Amino acid sequence: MEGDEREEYGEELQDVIEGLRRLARGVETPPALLAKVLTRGECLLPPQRRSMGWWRQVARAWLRGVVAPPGWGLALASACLVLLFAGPTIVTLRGAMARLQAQLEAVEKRERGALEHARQLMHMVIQQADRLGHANFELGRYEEAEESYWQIAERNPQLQDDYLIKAATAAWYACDYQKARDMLEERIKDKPRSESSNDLLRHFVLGSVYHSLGDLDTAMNQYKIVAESGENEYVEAAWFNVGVVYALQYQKSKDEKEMEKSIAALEESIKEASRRSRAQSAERIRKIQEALKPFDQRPLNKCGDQYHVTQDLTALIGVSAFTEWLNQKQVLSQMSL
Amino acid sequence: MAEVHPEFIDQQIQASAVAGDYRRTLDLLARTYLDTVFHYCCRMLNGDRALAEDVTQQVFEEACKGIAEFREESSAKTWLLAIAHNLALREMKTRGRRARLLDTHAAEVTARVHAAPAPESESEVLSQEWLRRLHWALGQLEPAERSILMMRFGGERRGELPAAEIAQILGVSRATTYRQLQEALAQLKRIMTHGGG
Repeated sequence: MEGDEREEYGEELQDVIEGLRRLARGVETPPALLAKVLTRGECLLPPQRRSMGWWRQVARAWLRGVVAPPGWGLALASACLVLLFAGPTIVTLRGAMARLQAQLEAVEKRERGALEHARQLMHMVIQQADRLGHANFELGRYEEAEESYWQIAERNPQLQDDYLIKAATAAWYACDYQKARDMLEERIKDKPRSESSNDLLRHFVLGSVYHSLGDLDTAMNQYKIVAESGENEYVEAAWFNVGVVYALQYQKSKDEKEMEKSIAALEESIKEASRRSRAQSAERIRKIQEALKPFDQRPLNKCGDQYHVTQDLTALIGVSAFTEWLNQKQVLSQMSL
Repeated sequence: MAEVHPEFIDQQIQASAVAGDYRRTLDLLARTYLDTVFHYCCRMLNGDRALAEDVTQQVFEEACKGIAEFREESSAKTWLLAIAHNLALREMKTRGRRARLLDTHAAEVTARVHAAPAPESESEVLSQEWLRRLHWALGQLEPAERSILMMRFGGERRGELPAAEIAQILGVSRATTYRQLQEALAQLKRIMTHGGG
């Protein structure tokens, strides 16, 4: 196989091919995944079709049950006599049964077709509602966007998680923080904690909603669920927001420990970004600088200061330990680029 | 689980599907190909394990819905990877949208990378740093390019697909598949060396 690959892809690409295979070896399948797949899959399987062999086995088992007691011997002999005389009638009955079965199969096929058609129609409706929601969102019509997403979530249990988050995000943009919080809390309350992508996003958005509402402790708890969950696409942003919450707590208490924690969380955020790429790390440093901008120099928003609060590091302006740390990060970042 | 020849397992899977014993079909499919599908999803989704887990579950859910139609036209692995290919591409599209949705606000979710790291010396080939860079470069490829590489080289040997079966999944000729593989490999190497282009 390797010889063939050398001919097909050239010697100079062999290291890349080998590297791709080594990358794959480093991936471990989560142990609980098999059980999840089997449990969820079994609910979606079509009804079991019975083979002829199965029917034969059932008939044999039934007959064994009937003829086993000795008292049934006489009854069986009588039944055989009846069968002898009623044979032609039974043959006719078998024909009728076969016709009935064919009719039933045809009805079942029609039903399956109708179901498939309904499924396709539903899919189209969802697609349209999703497009409408997205367009409204892009145009800044957040209430309308929320309505579209909410409708999809309400009517489709399978898509509920994804679209409730979208609806809550739209409510959050519309400055309706209470509503966004209620939507997300409602979903979290009955669910065991998991690290699926949707659950983590939900915690992240909920953290941001509490952050906007000024409930910093709850916001911090939600962010930490995401930040400490391991490798996923929201970890970097979650650590940044943890840093912002600590900065706000420092502003209130003037406790230096809070400031140190803020720097440590921002450091984690940069570390996470640099795991992806150096450019991503530079981008994170730029966002930290952006968050130092006073609110009156930022674009106006109808939600007021609450809109900017999740990006507020202004409490750290002029704090020498922070300024020193940020300068050092900038220099290192420029050198690596 | 004891090592069994994949062809023998495929025969068992097909036999149980034809006999209508779907529960056994699902059991065999999941026990045999869960790793292959998860590896593929994980690499397609830039190593995001939580998301890869979600998509792997969706792959098997789709397989369950279409299990009655599964026949001998393709191997079970090809069939599952075809579903995984479509779902992973769809997920990446949705992710792009979702990232845009949150990116405009303070929520800070972004995974876009614009520049490249500095090239390193040949002596470091296959070192951990080189693998990290390969992982990064893989993330810079177009999703379709990444997918074709993952199907061909991205699994343990028994999880990899031959070019003919990839051609079947993509609906193109075998020659086109070879060409696309060659181009994707060359592009990957280019990104690793020069950071793109």
